[in-house]
Amino acid sequence: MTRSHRLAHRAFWLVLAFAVALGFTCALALRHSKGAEVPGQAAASER
Amino acid sequence: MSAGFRAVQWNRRKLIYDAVLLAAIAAYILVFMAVGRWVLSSAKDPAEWDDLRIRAFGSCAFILLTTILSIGPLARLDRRFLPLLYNRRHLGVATFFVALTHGWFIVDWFLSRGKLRDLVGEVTNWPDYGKFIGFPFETLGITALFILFLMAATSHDFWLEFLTPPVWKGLHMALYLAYGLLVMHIALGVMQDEHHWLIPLLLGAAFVGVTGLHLLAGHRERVLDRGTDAASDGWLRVGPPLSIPDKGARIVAARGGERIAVFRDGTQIGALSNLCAHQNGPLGEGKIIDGCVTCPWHGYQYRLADGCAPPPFHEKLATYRLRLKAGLVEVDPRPLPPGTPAALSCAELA
Repeated sequence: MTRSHRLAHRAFWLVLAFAVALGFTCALALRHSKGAEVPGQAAASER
Repeated sequence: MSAGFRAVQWNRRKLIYDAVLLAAIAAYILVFMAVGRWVLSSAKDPAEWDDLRIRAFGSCAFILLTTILSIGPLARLDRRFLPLLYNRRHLGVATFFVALTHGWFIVDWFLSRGKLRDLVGEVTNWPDYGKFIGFPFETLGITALFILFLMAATSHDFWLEFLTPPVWKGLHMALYLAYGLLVMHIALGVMQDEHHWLIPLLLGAAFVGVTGLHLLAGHRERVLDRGTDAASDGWLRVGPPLSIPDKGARIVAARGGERIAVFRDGTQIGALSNLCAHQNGPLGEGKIIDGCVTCPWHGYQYRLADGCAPPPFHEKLATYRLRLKAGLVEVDPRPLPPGTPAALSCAELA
């Protein structure tokens, strides 16, 4: 890999790790507080 | 390595690799369905079978993508994983087809119940895009599937040569984005419906594992990328000739510069670009096999003397001037035109 590609790779993974970790934590924290069926996921739940 | 393009350059290693891969996918699907049937003792209901096959293929695609993304950093950290890298593209194409099957089973689920409009409604319910819980997670999966398709469609060496290795490698970094989208596809999809603790545990462990490997390998590369200070005339010190392993290389780099692989083959020392012409693989981590510098990734070969691939191949690498000064090998970090003879013969090593 070129030097610039390695730099982009390192930066990309840092940003991705932070964004997904944040999203995953929120999804985990909020799922138990979900009271009623989320309308948009009605069919998914049925699946 | 080939002088021309073929659909697939089959060899024994690739056949074994693909056979093991297909067997592993089939075994996973069968075990998932069997365990699922055992857990859901009332699986005579066709709806549950449909559900099982959707989840079997979906989880299989996620495991395959997790594996693909782990191979790169694992091979950087431990050479024993290099054989897995050799045919990684077939693993990627297989992942796309497994994910496509997962997608088709979902569409089929809606089609068989005459509810295709519900699926379209879920994806096009624009107000839901403003929510976090309730976000149309299907869109994340569809986007990831599209990226997987792009990766699979451009995985052939034709596209690698057409786009050039730096552009091709940059394009294939989109796979990381696909992985992030898939994690959120699961976190906002099945993880919200199924409250079993195993789902977040496995999902979190997979993501932490892959991310940790990439960050660890990246940290190690960062240390190497710092480079070394050049002498007043701009030359870089490599070290005594015998400090370069026979049939192997030492990698050096000027500050802010690209890496240079300094190889030794008995009494001959040569410096080549560390970037393989094929996929920009780390040539300096390869060995000299049959008299040629051999890339550890896919076995592309170059002559040490001039950086040219042996006939009938036509790839050429940039070479670098070398000199012996006070018993130390030094390299000029300014590259010579690809294919320029520049190797040094050290009679004292005879």
